[in-house]
Amino acid sequence: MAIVDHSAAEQELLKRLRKGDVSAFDTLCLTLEARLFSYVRHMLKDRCEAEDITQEALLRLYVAAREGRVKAGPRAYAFSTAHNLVVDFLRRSCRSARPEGEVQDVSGPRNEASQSTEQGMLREEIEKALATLPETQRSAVMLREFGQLNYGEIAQALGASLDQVKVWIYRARKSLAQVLDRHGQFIGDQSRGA
Amino acid sequence: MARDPSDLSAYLDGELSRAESAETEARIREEPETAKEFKRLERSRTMLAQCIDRPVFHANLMQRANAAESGMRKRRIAARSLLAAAAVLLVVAAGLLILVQWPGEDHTAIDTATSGSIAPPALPVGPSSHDAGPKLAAAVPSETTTAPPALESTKLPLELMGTITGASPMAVIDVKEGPKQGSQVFQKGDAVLEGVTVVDIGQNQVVLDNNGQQTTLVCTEEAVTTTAPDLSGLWDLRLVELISGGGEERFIGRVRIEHSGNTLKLYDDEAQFGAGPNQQPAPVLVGEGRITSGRDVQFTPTMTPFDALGTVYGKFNAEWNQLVAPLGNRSPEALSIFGYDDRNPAPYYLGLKLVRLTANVAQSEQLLASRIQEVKVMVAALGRYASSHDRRYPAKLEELVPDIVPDLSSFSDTDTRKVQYIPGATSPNVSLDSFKELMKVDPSLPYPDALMKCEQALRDAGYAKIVYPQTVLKVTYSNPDVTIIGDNRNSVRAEGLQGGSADAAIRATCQNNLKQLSLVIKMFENEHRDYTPPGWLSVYPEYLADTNILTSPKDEPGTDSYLYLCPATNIKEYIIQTYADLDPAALAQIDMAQAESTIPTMMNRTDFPNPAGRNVAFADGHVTFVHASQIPPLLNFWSRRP
Repeated sequence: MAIVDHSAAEQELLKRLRKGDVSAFDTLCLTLEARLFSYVRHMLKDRCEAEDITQEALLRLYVAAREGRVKAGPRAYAFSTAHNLVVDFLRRSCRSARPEGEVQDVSGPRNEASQSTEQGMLREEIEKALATLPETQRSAVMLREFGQLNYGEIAQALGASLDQVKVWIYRARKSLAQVLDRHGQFIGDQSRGA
Repeated sequence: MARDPSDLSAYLDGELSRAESAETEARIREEPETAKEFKRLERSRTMLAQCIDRPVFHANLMQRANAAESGMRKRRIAARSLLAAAAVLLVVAAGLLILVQWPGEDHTAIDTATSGSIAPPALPVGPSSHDAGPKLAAAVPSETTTAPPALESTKLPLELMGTITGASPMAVIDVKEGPKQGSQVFQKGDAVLEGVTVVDIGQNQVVLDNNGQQTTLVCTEEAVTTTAPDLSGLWDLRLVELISGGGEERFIGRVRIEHSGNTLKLYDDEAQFGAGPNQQPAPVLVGEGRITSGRDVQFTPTMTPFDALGTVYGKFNAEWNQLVAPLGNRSPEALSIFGYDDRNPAPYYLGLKLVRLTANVAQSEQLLASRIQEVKVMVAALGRYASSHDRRYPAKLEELVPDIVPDLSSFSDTDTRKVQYIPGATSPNVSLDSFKELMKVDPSLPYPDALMKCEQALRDAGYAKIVYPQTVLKVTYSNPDVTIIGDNRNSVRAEGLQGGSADAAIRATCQNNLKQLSLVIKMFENEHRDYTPPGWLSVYPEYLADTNILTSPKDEPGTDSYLYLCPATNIKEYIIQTYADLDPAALAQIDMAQAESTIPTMMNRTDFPNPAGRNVAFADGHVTFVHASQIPPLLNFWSRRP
């Protein structure tokens, strides 16, 4: 239940990056890229586009960090940049919110283990469930789970109040739990290995 | 009072104040409905962790970051030059202004001050205003109108990466400065830089017109070798499929590259896992490479995992025996080798990719290895406790102190790790007396049959249903998001690893299990006239204290994960018989000690997907990973054993 606190390590990396240590950026990317990419991929339909936007967000983080413009944590900066890029992209391509209930094809390459087993099926169910959520709820819950941002950072990224964020996350989790209940047969003991 | 239902979710995220948290905790404790709701929210949260994907652009991103860095550096240099120029202009302008405003006055003092402090000493600012204007005006046009002098080839910001001669010759030139940076393809007549055009393209050389002068760029093997980046280190080998724009990468194996001069040697890094207990781990050479004058790396595969890829490529190109990867100018993070199936109507590319394990990845793997070692020590301590407490595991870790370990300092909860200890129940009470009774060998039967009868008697008595309860020690690290799990089958494994690493972890645990089972077989043989156990019931609990080692970590508890090839068999007869069937000619010169290391006794029932193959235990007790291509004919043969 405890929140994983990445901030100290990430601030240290940010400090090193500010001084020009490129290897710090390498480490920062390895820490952030999977979660950031997963966030963007679930917001967009297009995997390639998601890769581009993720790279762009990380590059902007790099430039901003080198120029000393990252005031908050690098994680919050990367996720809010990615969120803004996603919103811009959706606006540009006239693909704002998807109609409720329409299921996106967000599936992409997965590792062998998840592809062949029931884990893969479960994951598909979760992705479908995520796709049915309203955009604000989806953004909020994914910024929390993938980005591990706190409510304050999420509120800032989404331009909302703390109370709104709290309610969005609660509603999103509740909807997800309902969908998962309906597909109870897929939910086995996930703590075992692949 | 009605509470805000979203508090439960906020509590889960640690976003409530201390008082609110205490209140919510009390509600969860006291109200079953709230507790149920909380569980559901918690579960939906853990489920989302399943949806995290790792993208494949890391190497590309680092290149882009490097490019951004050099762009920023140039901007900074430009900004500094601009500032300096502005400062000079300011001084000159100030000087001119003074001259214009106070003509005929003596300016010696001002001139000395300005030229001495900021302005360049050669700047022709004379004592007379009539001289100063024309001199300055004349100096500026003469500098700007003259064409820039031609630079020597070594000073051009260009590097020839390679040439393609033939009907339409092309050259790949790495442009290091200017608006269009990076490796580009040029043909005759193309402008490479302002004032620099391609005149001629030959074998590994390009003639340029450099502002009227001819300059030759050369790409020699020697130059390539000396400037080639060092490719030594660990690389992940991946198979890349690109179908209609989409793509997928599969981990195949890990190779260690040794780079010396322009030659590379590639070793299968994982082959070292399979070394026998008494064997020195010998690196297995899987391929060689050569850096050519065209800045390509030509790989020549010699055996798996590379030769398996040769087979894959063979489907597309029968003459495929060399894999070529273009080598970039900078130290590459990835080397890509692509093939193309032109017989297929839909474009289908197949490629190989070697991805360098960066220092950070290597470092994090090293960190993980040391954490695994810590868990191993603790699991061993738990085992020691159980053996001295009638196979009962401690109720909590603190019970290990001080008899087994001096303190728990290395396992106390910290910011970066979370220790979870789930003690199993006491082991099932199996009466050793009744076991020994059932294991009495019937002297009226041939020995193998008598042993099989014992195994059946144990099965009838319900021994097959005994599943040893697991005691689990989980240590979760926040970064990398990996849980290391140690249990009382003495295996320690890491969960949460991605793709190939996860397979490798399961494979390593299975190898460990098979090694322990090999020891069990050996112990049984020593006391039963060189006969192997008729089954696993006959060895529990006297030889095999924990039946959990019969199960691979990826199977359900109680699953028999390993195919046992030689139940109730005299091992020497088994080896001779197998040789007689496999290779009768070799039977005459059979060396038993050597033969033992070639005849399998157990193997994983299912394949590991990446790379495909199984763990095989051999009669001498060593365990190795055998690639799928080598298994099918042998498997049919081995599984025909009685």
